[in-house]
Amino acid sequence: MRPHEHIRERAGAWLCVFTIFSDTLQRVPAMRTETASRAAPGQKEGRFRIAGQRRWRTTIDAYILVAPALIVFSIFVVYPLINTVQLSFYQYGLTDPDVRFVNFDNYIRLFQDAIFWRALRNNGIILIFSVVIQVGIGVVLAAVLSRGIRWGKTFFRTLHFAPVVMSAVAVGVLWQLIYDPGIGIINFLLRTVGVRPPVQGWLGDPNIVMFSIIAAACWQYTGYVMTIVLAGMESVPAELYEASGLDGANEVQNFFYITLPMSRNVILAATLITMIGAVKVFDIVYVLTRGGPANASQVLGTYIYYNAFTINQAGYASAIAVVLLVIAVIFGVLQLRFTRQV
Amino acid sequence: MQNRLSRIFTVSICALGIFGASALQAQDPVTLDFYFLSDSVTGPYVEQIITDFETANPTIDINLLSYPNESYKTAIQVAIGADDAPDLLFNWPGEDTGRFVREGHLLDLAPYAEEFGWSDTVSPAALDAYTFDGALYGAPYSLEAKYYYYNTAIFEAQGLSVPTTFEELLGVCQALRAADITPMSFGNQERWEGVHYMSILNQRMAGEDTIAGDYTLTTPADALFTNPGYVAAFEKLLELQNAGCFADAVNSTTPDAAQAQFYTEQVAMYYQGTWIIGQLDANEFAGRYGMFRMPPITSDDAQGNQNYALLGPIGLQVSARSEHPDEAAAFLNYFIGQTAQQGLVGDLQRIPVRADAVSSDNASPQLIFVVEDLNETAGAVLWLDVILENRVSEAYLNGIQEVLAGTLTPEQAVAAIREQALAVQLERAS
Repeated sequence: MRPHEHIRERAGAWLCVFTIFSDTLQRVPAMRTETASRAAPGQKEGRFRIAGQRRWRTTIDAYILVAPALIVFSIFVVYPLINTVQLSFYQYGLTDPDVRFVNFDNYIRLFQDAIFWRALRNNGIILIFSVVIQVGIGVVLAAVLSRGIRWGKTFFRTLHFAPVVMSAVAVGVLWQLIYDPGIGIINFLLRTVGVRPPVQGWLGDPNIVMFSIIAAACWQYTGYVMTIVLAGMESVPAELYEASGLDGANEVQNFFYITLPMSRNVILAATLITMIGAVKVFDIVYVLTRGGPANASQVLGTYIYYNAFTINQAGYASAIAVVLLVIAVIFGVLQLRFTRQV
Repeated sequence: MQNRLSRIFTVSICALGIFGASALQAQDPVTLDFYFLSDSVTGPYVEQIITDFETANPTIDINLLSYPNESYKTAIQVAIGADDAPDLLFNWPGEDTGRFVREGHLLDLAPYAEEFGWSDTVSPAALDAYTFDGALYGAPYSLEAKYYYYNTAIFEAQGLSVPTTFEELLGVCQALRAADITPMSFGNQERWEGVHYMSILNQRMAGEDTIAGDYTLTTPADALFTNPGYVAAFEKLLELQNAGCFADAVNSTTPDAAQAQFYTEQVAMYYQGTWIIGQLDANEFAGRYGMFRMPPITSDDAQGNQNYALLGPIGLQVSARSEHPDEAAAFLNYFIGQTAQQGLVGDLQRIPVRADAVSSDNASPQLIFVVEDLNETAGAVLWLDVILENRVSEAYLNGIQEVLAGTLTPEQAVAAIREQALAVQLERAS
């Protein structure tokens, strides 16, 4: 692939993002019907068309244009990445001038570290549940908004999208108040109907805490999945529904035989985005529990932070970061693979 | 037009040049970066001190960067790790300071202490906490002690009196439970409220001499954390829990929520540091509470002096890399001077490190009670998470949460702590 094709690929991806936003916020009809369907990630080059787009012919032009992004990318992504891999072979504290090369010790220690495995398992739990809940509910909501209701579409769409624009820290604080054993609304409601809330609290019981976190995360991100999927569903050609209507299909059949197959790519992309998010999760867990009680809700992200900043094991933290990176890259490659195939 | 523009340009350049030159001619102001742990209450107080100091010393400019609790620990580590340490920094004593001392990040302030005569004015116990191998690595500016706060109206209505022993405290809890009142709030989500309980209970049960060696990991390996007092201390914590002292869900209650439960009168007691005196007053709770120290434990297996207080200083330090140590030390001297210390009492109701800063003019009755009460203690013990090495401290913090949740027995928790302590001791020896 020649470099300028990369640019157009990137332009396609940005166009997709832009389309989703403009679709949500402004509802530009032309962009919705034409461009959104064509610019879904992974579309073969040349299939989308932008008015007035100039075709860049020379490679030098292309390099000049990507140079700023490339420089920033190198400084803030590539360099720290290489540095992290390098540091994972050392034992040192963040402020400690004494840096010792320990070969693969950090990685060996990692395999024997029960908290690391628990963190990895917690990431897995979050991944499974967030895919099932966020994508599941997100798709249903999108379908309802797309074809199920006649009025209030914009209102409900905005309502469901609202938590997405909040910062995870604000969401964390909000849910901390909701879960609070003394003044929280959940315990208040439970007591009102005569049910005794969990004695150790929603965030204090090692057996419940992960599900409390997942509920808060899903509350925030389901609207995000819904918005992406909705953009895909809105671009399903209306003729298909007209044809199925003539054949006497009902809306449920429409959903399973038209909407779902036609939005497959978008749903797949949303699923992979959700999976990568579950692997990288940090903020909501950190704000809600800091990985507690007693490491019960530790995930890789918080465990890296904990090692680097709380117990002064920065080299070991780097080793965990490398593991996290490998997992995230696997999912990233999968995402590219899947979205390009179709 | 062209000509005129270029003239304006030339004039501006000249003006800049003259301005620059005159700035150079004046005495160079010294800028000191100052990392401070602060919140909405302490922030304005520190800013006022800086303003006053800069007015008195126009050549020194203090650049304040403040962070709340957890972010502070991250920010200071990142700054020092990136070789960009501030000239002045807030720090706790114990391992937080010990670690920076071992790594060579802090300046020995002993010569300045002598020059300014700190030993005559500042509490010796506070200075001791920042002294390592004869060198002084911090200027303590405030003391913090741990007390039970109790709601006087509830105690009066239930006919309860201040417990004089630990066993009486359990009785008070049972009496309150019988009257359908939650005895105490306990916010252990961030884990430090639990470690404060264990700090004093360990001293009471295992004894001050035992903990001194174990906390610094200098006790020989075969005896490290083997004193039965450690298990007994956990059992005392469980005695409080089993007597119904604590509100539900201690491990998911934040300290802020626990404090709010106390001043909104949902609970009768709260065990917390003296830094909340000013906050309780700000919530119009002044005069509606009394205070007592952790009462003596009378059981036979209690090995410690029962008149110890949980008490520790906080202080400011100077980076070893500072290019202006003299100016930094001058600021510290102002910070722990009489004027600033009187402000600490008057504005914040905190315990000062100088006896001459407290008077009935600026201190609330509660603060005067605390200062007098602390004079009668036999000794002081520091917060254990501050003294212990980070990983051992973490084993303790998590162990307490697990014991409270019932997922570990006291014996299992102490075994896990001992295991971690042995590992760190071995690492230090090699």
